[in-house]
Amino acid sequence: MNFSEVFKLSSLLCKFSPDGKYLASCVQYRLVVRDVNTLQVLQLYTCLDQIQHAEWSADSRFILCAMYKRGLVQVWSLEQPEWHCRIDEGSAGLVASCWSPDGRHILNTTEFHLRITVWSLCTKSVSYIKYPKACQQGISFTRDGRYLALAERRDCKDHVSIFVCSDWQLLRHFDTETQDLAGIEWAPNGCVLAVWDTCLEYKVLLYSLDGRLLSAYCAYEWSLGVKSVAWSPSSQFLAVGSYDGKVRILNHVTWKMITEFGHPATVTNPKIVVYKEAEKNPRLALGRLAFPPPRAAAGAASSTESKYEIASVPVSLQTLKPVADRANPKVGIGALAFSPDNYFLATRNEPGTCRIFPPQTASRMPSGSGTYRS
Amino acid sequence: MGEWMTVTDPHLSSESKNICQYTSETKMSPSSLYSQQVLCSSIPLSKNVHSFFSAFCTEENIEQSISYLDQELTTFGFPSLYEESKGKDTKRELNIVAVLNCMNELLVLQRKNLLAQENVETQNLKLGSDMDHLQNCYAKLKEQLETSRREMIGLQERDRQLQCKNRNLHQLLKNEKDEVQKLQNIIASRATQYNHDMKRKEREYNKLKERLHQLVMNKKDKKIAMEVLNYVGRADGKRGSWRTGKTEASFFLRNEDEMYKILLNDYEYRQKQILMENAELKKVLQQMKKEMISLLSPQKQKPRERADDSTGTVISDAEEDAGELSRESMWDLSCETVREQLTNSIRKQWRILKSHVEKLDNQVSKVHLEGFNDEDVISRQDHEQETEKLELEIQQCKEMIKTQQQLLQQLATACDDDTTSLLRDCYLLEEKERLKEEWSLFKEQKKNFEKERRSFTEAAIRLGLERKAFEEERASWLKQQFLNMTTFDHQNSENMKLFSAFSGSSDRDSLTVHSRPRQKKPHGVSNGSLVCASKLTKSLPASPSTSDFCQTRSCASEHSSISVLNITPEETKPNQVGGEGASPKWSMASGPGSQEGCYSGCSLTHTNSHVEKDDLP
Repeated sequence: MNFSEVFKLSSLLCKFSPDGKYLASCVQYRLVVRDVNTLQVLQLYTCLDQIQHAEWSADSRFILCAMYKRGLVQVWSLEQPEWHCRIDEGSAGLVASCWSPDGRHILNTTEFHLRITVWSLCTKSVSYIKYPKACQQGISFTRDGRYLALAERRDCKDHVSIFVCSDWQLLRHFDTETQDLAGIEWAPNGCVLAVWDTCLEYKVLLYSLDGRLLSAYCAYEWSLGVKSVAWSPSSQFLAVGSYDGKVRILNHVTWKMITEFGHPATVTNPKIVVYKEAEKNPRLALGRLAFPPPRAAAGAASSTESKYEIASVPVSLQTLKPVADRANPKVGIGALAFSPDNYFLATRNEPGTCRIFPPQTASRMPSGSGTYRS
Repeated sequence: MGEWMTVTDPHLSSESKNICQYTSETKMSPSSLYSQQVLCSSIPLSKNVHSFFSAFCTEENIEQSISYLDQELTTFGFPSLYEESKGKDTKRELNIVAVLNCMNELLVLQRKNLLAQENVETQNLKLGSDMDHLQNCYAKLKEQLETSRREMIGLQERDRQLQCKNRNLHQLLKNEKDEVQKLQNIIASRATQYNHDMKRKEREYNKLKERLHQLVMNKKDKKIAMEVLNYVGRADGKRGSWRTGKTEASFFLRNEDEMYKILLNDYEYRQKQILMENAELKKVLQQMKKEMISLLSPQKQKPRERADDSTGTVISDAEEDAGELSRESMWDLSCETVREQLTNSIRKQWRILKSHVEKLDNQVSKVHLEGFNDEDVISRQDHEQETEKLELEIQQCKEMIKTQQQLLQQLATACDDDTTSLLRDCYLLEEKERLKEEWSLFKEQKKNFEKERRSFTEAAIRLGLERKAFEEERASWLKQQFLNMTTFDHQNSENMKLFSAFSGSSDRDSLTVHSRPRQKKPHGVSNGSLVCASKLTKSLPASPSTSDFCQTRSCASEHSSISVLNITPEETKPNQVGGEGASPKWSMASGPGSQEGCYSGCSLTHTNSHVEKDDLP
């Protein structure tokens, strides 16, 4: 693999534009926009404070830079470099900021999750949404950008509100049967909303767009539950990764489990190809991902080279027993991703192994190729 | 009768002491007493009896003893010993008969008693042994009883202990359960407590949030603002619309409508997908069914001879299924009955197929064991025949190979020197002989050619001479003519000169033809012929090889033919007689000819020329 020269980056803020033409990276308080092919600097913007979060708008015309400490959001235009926009939350504070799917509204979450302010770049209107829930993934937009699902907590109960993004009208509001809602996510077809509970309780609820509960799924009780959730691109499958090291796949017809994939510590099936990451140079700082860093987006501290070599089966993977008396143990399926063609499912099992499962073999023993870092 | 009382006779007292003893000691029945006395009296029979007998009756007390005996006997029921008394005062006389009878009776009685005694004794013994035996048994049983009692006590003791243990364990279990319950209760209570606390804290937090929110909202910070250079157009390029009261509701409804539309679209899409899948699966099932039916039907033809039940059902099933197929294709809807029919028919077919396969398996196994099955026998026969054929072929081939090998060996090894020398060229012998023949032929031909050549050259020489003469004649004739003519015209003197030169040259040429063979341009036909002749003469002295010879012969023949051709039109002019005869032959010679053609033509022409030359004047 060829790497370009190393560019400075702070806080791992480096994003490609949605249309793939530009690359935005942040260095302290400066925002640098480069052309993807030539890596030439096209624009350079200076913000008022150190940037904590940068995000492209969906049409790749604007970038927002959020500075949480100062409660500021600055928006830059790519087409008109002299255009500027600054949103100051003032005393309300700023905890999170994101674009709406139409690229013309910015949703700012104020401190203590008091409210979400919807600032419009087209009109002078401002909308407020009260009491969003402070959880891992409390906001979810549908893929076509029509609806926003927001997790709220009122009267010690979890609720979900569905807004229409075009005019920010409330469409539906319903309560969920969760103890402590941890996350929500729309299916890619925009008709089903997956809601999952805190890790203390394994519960995955599926709601229809109009707020009806379609199904509830619970694999087991008492042990730590759901860690990560992913929809397949065709909305036919919902993969649920849990702390017990298993991925369970639900189907969209009956919302029952059709298969589950385990992540055993030893790999013995000779059909599985195992890639082992071997580092050439010792790492200076540990990254969290098991993949090699993408081009020009390497972490500032890590300058290692690594390559993948094929390990011969049987391979016993290193397992770390997590400390039992600490919260958020490093076990379980931390991340899930479906391939865009619906064919493969990649899972990241803590610590440090990534497995790929083809759904075709769901009926047989789960096989797949895996990579792991020793 | 009561106790045996001593007869008040003091004399008998000592002897009856025994009796007294017995009577005083035991109170028995008279019969037993009597038997005892009999016993004791019968045993020591020898001495005491005599003494007893003598003691009872002496000579003094005969009357008394008789009266006593009579009393006793009558009391026992015996008849009296006295005769019948005639009077009361007279002494009764002893009835001897009665006495004897009584004695006999007494003896009989004695014997009976003895027998009885024996019996009784034996019985007594038996009883005694029985008693012993029973006593032993009793003792044993007593022992057993004791031991079993002891065992039972032991077991009871164990049982008791186990029950104690059991109770203890139950107790423990109960304790544990209680503890668990308690802990669960504790947990539950704690959970509720925590929940309650959480809720309380959350409420507090919410209150704080509210307060903060109010503060934030109220402050209306100037800072909280958005500063934009200019507002950006909407993403979809449309303009914003006014928001009036009416439109709020319509917006809401519109949103609802859109939402439901989206949901419905999604459901419809999914349903379509599922229907498509169903249709495909149904198609696949129907195909499977058809194939299964077709699979089963040709096999039914053969075993129709064997009237199996299954085949009959199969046939009927096939017909049924054919009917069903048509029916199903008509009703290609997903109604319950059609679906059920399809699945049932497929299941039926599958069962039939399975049974068929099992049958075949059985048949195969049977064949392995017995081999009486018709189909397999036939195939085996064929198989055997084929194998036999193949084996025969193999044998034949092998034999052929062997013979060939032998021959080769013979050829290779078994040869003498003579034979080797002979055989060395044996393959080429034929060819050699052929070649020899051909050589001889060639030599003959060569000779012939030589002869002909010579004759040809002579003819050519002669021809040349004749031509010369002819030319001279012609020249003279022409001269004369011209002289006749040129008397009128002096201008033609050049022509004359030319002509004279022409004729002279021809003469010269003809003269020099043998001495100096030179190639000149043919000044006409005659020179050409002369040149050809010179060529011929030139070529002749060279010693040709066969091929060259042939070639030159060919070219010579050609030339000769040409020359002959050239000559003969002139010759035929004067000689018109042979012209007709010659023309067909010339045509032969002039045709596109091979060597032989030319040769033959040549020879012919030669002969003709010979002939003609003869004819020429």
